[in-house]
Parts: sequence; structure tokens; C-alpha cells
Amino acid sequence: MRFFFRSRQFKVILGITVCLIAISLICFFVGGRLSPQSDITGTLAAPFRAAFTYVSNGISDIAAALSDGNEAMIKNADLENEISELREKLADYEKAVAENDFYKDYLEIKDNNPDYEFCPATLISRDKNDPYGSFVINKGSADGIKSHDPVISESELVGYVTDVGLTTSKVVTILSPDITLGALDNRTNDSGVVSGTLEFAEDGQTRFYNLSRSCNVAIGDYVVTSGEGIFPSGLLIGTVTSIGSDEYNTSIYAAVEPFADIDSLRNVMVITNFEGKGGLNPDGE
Amino acid sequence: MQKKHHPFLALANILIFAAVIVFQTSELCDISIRTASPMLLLPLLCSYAFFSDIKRCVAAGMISGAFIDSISQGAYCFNTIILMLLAVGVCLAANNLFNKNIFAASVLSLMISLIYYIFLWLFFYLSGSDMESSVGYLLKYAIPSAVYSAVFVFPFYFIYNRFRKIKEH
Repeated sequence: MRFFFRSRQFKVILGITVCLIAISLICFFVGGRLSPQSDITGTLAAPFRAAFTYVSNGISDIAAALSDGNEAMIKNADLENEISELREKLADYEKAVAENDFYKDYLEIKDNNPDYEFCPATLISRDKNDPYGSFVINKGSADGIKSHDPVISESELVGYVTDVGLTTSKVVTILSPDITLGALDNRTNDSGVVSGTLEFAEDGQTRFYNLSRSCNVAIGDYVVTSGEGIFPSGLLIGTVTSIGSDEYNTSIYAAVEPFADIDSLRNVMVITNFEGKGGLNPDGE
Repeated sequence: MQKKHHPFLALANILIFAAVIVFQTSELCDISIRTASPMLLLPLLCSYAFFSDIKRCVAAGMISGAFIDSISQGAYCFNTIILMLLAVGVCLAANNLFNKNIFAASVLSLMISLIYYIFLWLFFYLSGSDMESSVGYLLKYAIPSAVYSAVFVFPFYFIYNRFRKIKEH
């Protein structure tokens, strides 16, 4: 094996590794962009991922329709084919209704916030190694998406765009500790900070902390964005499910269950522009 | 023994890698067991590198790593680099240190899975969050996922062992 370390092959591998480390460092310091090779592979793979995600969603829809099926209908063998066709149509119909509702909700938000500019996107991939549910969408810089653009589902905050490629973008969710945003209790106006931890993410929740000990936050309250940083104000984050005190007893925190169902998201909207855009980054920079 | 060029095997290789990459990066089917989510490219690369040469290992590791980097949060070139180096490491170990059998392949698969997840933890979870969360990630996610990933070496080993036999005959 020692001959390998003197060989030309070893020098080539070392050269490639050094180049890749240099690219990583450049991407890290520049920020907000996918590395060139990730951008190329992401762009190449995006249509295939989208197709497989479409197939997988179709399979889950049909499976859900079958599991909810009428037993009497299933017993009738002659009608099975017809039922299957009808179920497929029903799944398509439900999908169309859901999509219709989806766009209707956005129209409502758009009516309430005329300054918002949206870019609809579909989730095409998930990072299975990330316990915080980060994912990739099928829109990138070619569609006007920029790093740190907020991502919502209906009027509920999902996260923000971290890295942008030509036709794909990575999104970090509100369950992640990488996100830190100013938030308010909608009922009491108590302000705090929302950021995820592994412990909370395991239960599909995030943490609303730095709340003053005299605050009136209660279980069931809605938490919304305060408008500081990169997120517009008034976006729904979630509902308070429990309240606790920090380890030094100086402030309290609340567990917040996001309104957006992050595990089963299919379509999202990226807010590409809004009034007052350009505040602090969600990582505090 | 004279090795012949087999276009069918080359195509089969590409299809296997493409299928695993799509499986790994889409929501087609989730085979997670609680917090353990397998990284199928690790046992696949291990089995491929076990019967391959260094040039092919570098190419396979880099290309598959780049695909994973395109969906991983904050990864930049992490997967490209580590998968390439792990594939080269397996190739060298298989050719110089180990006999080519299923036991050696499983040991190497477990080793590279653990190395991959430990590096993932070191780079992305140790510094980014508090100690409790980072240790929690290591114990609850990284190590179970590494062990679960390593298990998948068996089917891939048998496929590539079969390919080797076809090449040699």
C-alpha cells in the first residue's frame, strides 16, 4: 500500500480533494449558493426527483384511498376494476381540490398583503439524514429565488431558503437550530425568539424562548412572526403546547407545534419580496 | 485472468447507482426504523469499491457524493469528498489488507458507515448546536443510522460478487 502514496494516482486524488476543500471554503464564506458540482448534479437530477416524488405521492394517495375504501364495494369482484378507476379519479379530484384550496389560500394572503411576491414551488427531495426535516424545492435562482427568502405553506411559516442553485433550492425548516427568528404571542403580544433543538424536533415541535417571567403566554396561544429579521410580520408559526422554565430560572420557554405539517409538505410558496425585506439573517448575521 | 469489457455490466452499474441515488434523495419509500435512517450509498460504494479499481472508485464516490450534496443541508462538498475518500480507502484495504469475502465487506461497510456519520456529526452537528443536542444526534441518529446502513452491504456484495464472476469468465 505504501507504493500507492508515492503514485501519480495518490497525487491526483490529493489534488481533487484540495480543490473540493477550496470550493467548500469559498461556498461557506460566500454563502447562499450551492457548490458548483452540487448545482450541476441538482439541476440534472431535479426532473427525475420530481417524477419520483410525483409517483410516490400518487402511490400514497391511492393507498390512502384504498385504506378508506368501502368494504362492500371491495367484496364485489366484478366492480373492483371500476372502483379502482373511480378511486384513482377520486384521488385526482381530491388532489385538484387540495391544489385549488392551496392557491385560494395564497390568493387570500396576497389580498391581505399586496406587497408579497410569491413563487410557488414543489418539494422534490428530503435530506433523510437531517432530523430537522430540511428539503429541496424545484425552484432556484432562475425563478427569482434568493438565499434567505421565507417559505410558507398557506399562511403558515415553514422555514427559509438557505442555498440556491439554478433550478433547485435548499430549505431549512423552523424545527432546526439553524433558524432564529423574532416571534410574538398573538394574544398577549409577549415577544421572544423561536429556534429549534433536537429534543423539540423529535416531537415535531420548536422552541419559543427568551420570554420574560412575567409574560402571560398560555397553552393554546398562537405564535406569529414579529417582523424582525428576514420574515414579514404576522406569519403563523404554531400553537403553544407546553410551557417550561429555563435551567437558570431567569426566563421561560414554550414548546410550539408548527401549524405547517412539515413531514407531509408537498407544495410550498416562497415569498420572494415583501415590504421591509432585507433585515437580519435568521442565523443572526 | 483476462478481464473483458462488459457494456451490460457498466450499464447495470450506472442503473444501480442511479436507483440508489434516487431512492436516497426522493420520498419514494422510507425504510427508516425509528431514528435510524440508512445511507444506502455507503454499503453500495463499499461493495463496488471492494471489486473495483481506484480510478472507478474516485469517479463513483465523487459523482454519487455530488448528488447527495445537492440535497444535504449546508453540505457544500462534504459528501463529494468523503464518499470519494471512503471508496478509495475501501479499494485499498480490500486489495492490500483483507481477503475478498463477505465478512471483510461487512467489516469495511460498518467502518466506513461509522466514519461517515462521525464526520457528519463533527462537521454539522457538534459545532452548530448545544452539547446535549449534538451528543443526542450522535447517539440517537448517527450511530444507529451507521449500523443500519452497514447491514445493506449483503445484497450489494452479492450483486457485485456476481458481476466480478461474470467479468472473469
